[in-house]
Amino acid sequence: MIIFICGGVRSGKTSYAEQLVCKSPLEDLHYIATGVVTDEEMKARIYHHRQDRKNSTRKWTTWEQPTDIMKLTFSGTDAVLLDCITTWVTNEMMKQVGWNKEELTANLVKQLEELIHKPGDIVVVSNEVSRDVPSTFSLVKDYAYVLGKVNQWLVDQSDGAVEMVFGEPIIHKEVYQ
Amino acid sequence: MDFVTGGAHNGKLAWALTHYGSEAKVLRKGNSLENLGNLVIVDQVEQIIGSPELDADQFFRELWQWEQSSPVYQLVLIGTDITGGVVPAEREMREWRDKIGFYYQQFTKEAESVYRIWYGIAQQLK
Repeated sequence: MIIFICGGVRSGKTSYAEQLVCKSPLEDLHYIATGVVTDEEMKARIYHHRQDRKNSTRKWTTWEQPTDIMKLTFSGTDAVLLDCITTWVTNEMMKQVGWNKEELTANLVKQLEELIHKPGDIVVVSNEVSRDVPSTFSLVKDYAYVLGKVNQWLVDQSDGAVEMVFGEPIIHKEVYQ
Repeated sequence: MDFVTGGAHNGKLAWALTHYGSEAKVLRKGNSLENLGNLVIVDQVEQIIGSPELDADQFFRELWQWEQSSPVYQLVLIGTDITGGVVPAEREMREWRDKIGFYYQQFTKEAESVYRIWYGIAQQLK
């Protein structure tokens, strides 16, 4: 089962996603962390997420994978939480300087295509940034374009799609229990 | 008149073409209002509202009058929601954003149906 969760910052996306994965009947829980420590604030943020998983009712295996997420291998007994698309897209864009937005989108969709069908369950978390005034910077414009396309693709592929609004889930696609 | 909104790159136009019909005449800023057919989709209305050289009120009034002139005519406005970000540093951007909020409220009030598109999925607001 593929579930997509998107929402604003501090909307409770990750804790909601963790609850969903914990409820999975599958044996092994995995957390793919795409965030990179760049400063103290990011360090605290990652620590906070780590503590949450430590205090979780079930045991998690954490994979720090800022780029190339398709390199991870999973099987049908795995339940995976991918957190999050936004930082992963940023990391990939920083790596692939010189690619145009279409090439980037195609590459990212291909990586996701390889990843999301491997585990038995996967919950993918993304961030809502599409309601801002358009940026005058081409890199930011491309980023908004790529992220929008990737989110659309994920919603299309998903069995369940949820928009988080201040801790309240709005279910746009309901297939899960 | 129907109003379709949602964030940038959320698949609004693709949804509208599927929902209303791909034979629609799609208009954007700068296009003329001739040979409209029966179904008109105005895409990126935020660009029309934000354009200093265009009279947005006049533009929308003409289209409303066109739609009223026959029961088979259907007008659909698509506007990107740009009202949910950080307050812009530039005055023009702040004014544009305010204007968008006022216009979208008006569209929502006058529309028969209003949809918000979330990454390809429509949520009917009215």
